[in-house]
Amino acid sequence: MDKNCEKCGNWLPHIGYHFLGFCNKKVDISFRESFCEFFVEMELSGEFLWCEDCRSIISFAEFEEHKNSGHKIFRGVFVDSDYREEIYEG
Amino acid sequence: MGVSEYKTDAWVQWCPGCGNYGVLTALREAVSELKIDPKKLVLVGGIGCSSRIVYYIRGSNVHAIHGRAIPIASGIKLSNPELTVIVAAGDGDILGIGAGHFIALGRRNIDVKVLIHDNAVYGLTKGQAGPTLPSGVKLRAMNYANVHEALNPLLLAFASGYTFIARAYAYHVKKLKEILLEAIRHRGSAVVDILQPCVTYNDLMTKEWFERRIYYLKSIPSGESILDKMMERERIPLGIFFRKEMDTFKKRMEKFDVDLESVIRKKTLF
Amino acid sequence: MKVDLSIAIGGFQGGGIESAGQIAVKAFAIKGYEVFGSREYHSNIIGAHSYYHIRVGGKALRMPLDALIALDAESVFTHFRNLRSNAILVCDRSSLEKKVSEIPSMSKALRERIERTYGNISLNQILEKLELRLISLPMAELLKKLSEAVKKPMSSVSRTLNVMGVSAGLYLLGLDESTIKKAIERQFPDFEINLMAMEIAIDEVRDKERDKIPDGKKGEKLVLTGCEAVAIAKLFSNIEFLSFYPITPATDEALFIEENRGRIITVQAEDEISALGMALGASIAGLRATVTTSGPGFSLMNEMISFAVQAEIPIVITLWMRASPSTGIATRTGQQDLLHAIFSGHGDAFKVVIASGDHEEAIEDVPLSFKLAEDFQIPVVHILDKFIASSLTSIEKNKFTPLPKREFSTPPENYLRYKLTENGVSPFLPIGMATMIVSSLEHDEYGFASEDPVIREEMMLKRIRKFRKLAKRVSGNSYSVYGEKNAEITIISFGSTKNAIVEAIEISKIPAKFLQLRILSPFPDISEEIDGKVLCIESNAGQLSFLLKNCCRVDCVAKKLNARPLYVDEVLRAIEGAIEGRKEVILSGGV
Repeated sequence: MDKNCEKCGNWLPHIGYHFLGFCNKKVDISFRESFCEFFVEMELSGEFLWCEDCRSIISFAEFEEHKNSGHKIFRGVFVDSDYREEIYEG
Repeated sequence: MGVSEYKTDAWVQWCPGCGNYGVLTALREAVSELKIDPKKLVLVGGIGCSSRIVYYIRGSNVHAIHGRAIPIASGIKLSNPELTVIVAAGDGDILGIGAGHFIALGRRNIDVKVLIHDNAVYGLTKGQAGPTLPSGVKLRAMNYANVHEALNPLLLAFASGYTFIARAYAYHVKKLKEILLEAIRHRGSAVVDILQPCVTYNDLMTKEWFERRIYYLKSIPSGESILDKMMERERIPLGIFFRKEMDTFKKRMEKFDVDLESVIRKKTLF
Repeated sequence: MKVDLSIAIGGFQGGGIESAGQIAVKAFAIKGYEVFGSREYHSNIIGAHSYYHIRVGGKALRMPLDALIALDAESVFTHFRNLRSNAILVCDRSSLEKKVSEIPSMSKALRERIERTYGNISLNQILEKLELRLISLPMAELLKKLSEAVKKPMSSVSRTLNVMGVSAGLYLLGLDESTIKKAIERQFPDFEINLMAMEIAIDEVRDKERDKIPDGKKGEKLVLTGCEAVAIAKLFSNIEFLSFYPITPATDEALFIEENRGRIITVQAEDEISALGMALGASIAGLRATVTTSGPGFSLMNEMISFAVQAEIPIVITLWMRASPSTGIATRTGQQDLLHAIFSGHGDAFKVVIASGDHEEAIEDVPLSFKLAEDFQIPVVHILDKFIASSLTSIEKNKFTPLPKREFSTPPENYLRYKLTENGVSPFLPIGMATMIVSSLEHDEYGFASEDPVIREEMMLKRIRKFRKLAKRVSGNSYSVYGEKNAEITIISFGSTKNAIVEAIEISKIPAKFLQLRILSPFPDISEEIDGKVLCIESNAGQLSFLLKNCCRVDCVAKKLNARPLYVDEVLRAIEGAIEGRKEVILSGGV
């Protein structure tokens, strides 16, 4: 399926669960494989992007290199606002 | 209760001509005028010639460690608000090693008075450059001219949130006493930068040097002129630069009873 | 039938592992079992691996695992080697195809170790090699079911994946639905959606093979972390002043007190020097004051500690040790501040150091610390560690005992703050009740600074006398003895290694004895208690053994250096090593 959430410009992958992500249009979580009538092409522009294979933010300059290695790139990543409650530092 | 009520038996060790004598006299007169019970007068000193004042004024005093008089004074005042808590230490102690704590007291606005005995040198350890010594100056005991810029204590206090900021001169005992009275009466964090010569080590900023430059503000400045007056270098203004009434730290903290029962209940499983 | 389970719940940090772990601990506590849970988490990284390790029917952690609830693929790769045969493994169906190389958040070191042994293997392939009771949950489908059932958006529903995983796992382990439901209600009192999530997950596994667990001993219990236990003990001890600087793992204790503070003055200081300074000020003014910190913060407090000794100021410093030196690993455990605590503060800085072995001891040691600090006007350093701080266990309510407030007598004429007395303890009055000088310099009886040689000597002797008196007071309680009378081996240790060692010597084939040191300064005389070989176990490079060499022969030192808690099986290996004649054993258990 070519026009599913994974390929859609409104969608960001979930940082922890591979099969979930966040849709900016519906302002809700959706499944990676689902699809709907609001599909738009993904536009990878902007200073920072998210590389799912590396699980990290990359700068636009590194984009080509990651894409050529076959990595999945997105505009960003979805992090639930409650996650901070579990995170500690020193 | 006269001034003699506040004398102790300790032998005063300062060099003859030291500005600290002026501060000692003015402070004794101020607390005497305010009729503060010596038991309730808490002088907290750091380490340095000036901090020895805690031995020379009868009170319930603390001689703390270098740079750390302010946290100890803060703990005392928060614990017993009836006490009059005054920190007395040198510019090196308060604005060098203790700078972090100096700033924090301003932020908290705890009702503690900070007297900076400002002679621009580390007297007790033989005359190194202090935080308020201008750069390029070489005093008699220094190996080379000062490579640090002078800190402006009034601006630092202003930026930190002190609600009473003043500057005085140790040898003008009457005027100094007036300013100390205002500082002690003020409810909130107060700082008085007391300029004083160090007759042994500061051969630049002598009595004559000061008295050529100092003058008294006619009134408390407001608006833009506050910063202008604080930054003035050609001449040195003395007096109260800033005063404001604000909630002290204590008022900002809420008060309610510890409900041990509900704490236990929240954590209990049946 | 004795229930003894070792369970791990793993997932990515931010995925609700904390809640899942707490639900499991609470469920077993509600069922009436002794339960202990420890959270292992990574510093500050969303998505990094984190897990909860739970022991039911015991107080210490042990390997192998009887069950693993894995909320992501990385959890399986991290823990699979610790599963016993026929252990229960609950995981997400969609992660079974994942290969080791496809998990970027896994530490490179771990991935390389696995690839070296197995190649770039997938989860399915690994699990084929092991004999496990594998239950894979179709997470995506379960979420869809839940979303339809509650008619709520996916964003509320997706947060319940952790509850689904742990509910299924607990059900398979033999807990009944009503117990699991109670635990979830305690964890999330305002969110009923979690109960629906539980039902859907349990429905999915209803037809699978299930263990049986009988009811345990029911009773009113609190489920607390070490931080909460110490915080509540301090509240019961009527503290009046707390100052702190945020530092892992002490922050949780401070925040708990702050949240429930009542009239207690709580201050977040600008640094640890100020925190201890303010607390000393409060103590001088007559309040019961305390600070809480960890290794790096304690380093900063050193000068203030020396001040407290010279000026004879009562203070209790709670030191939560963590992996060091320097910033070390902020979120992992260690026992590396023992010597630091004992020798902190320059000069002859006599102080008390008390080490708690677990939550219950910590609760007793809190009022004891305040009592000693105030009776002898001396700093008391109460050492614990991150393992105790963040692990969860059930505690009886009556373990907490109140401590009466500080009291002061009427001031005499000409009060002398540092009056020379026979036992070295001067009558204490706070400032504000009499004139005096509290001084960091050597001083005379009033407090005036003095360099006189006679006065100086008298004050030194006074403080020495005072400390000797204190040593006599605590001599009956400075260590505990467990185990055989005629042991072949005596294990000596301190702190949170306690429960693993106590359990190990019960099952050890070699008769063993355990001396748990509770008070490390003044250092106890244990020479009479040694039987057979001496094995010192500690989570540092040999600090306790260094001290022990002054009073007895140490045959073997077992060192745990990998920033993980001590496991029961490791103690057995250490005992074997010592009996074999090894001088040193490095214990590397845990992931």
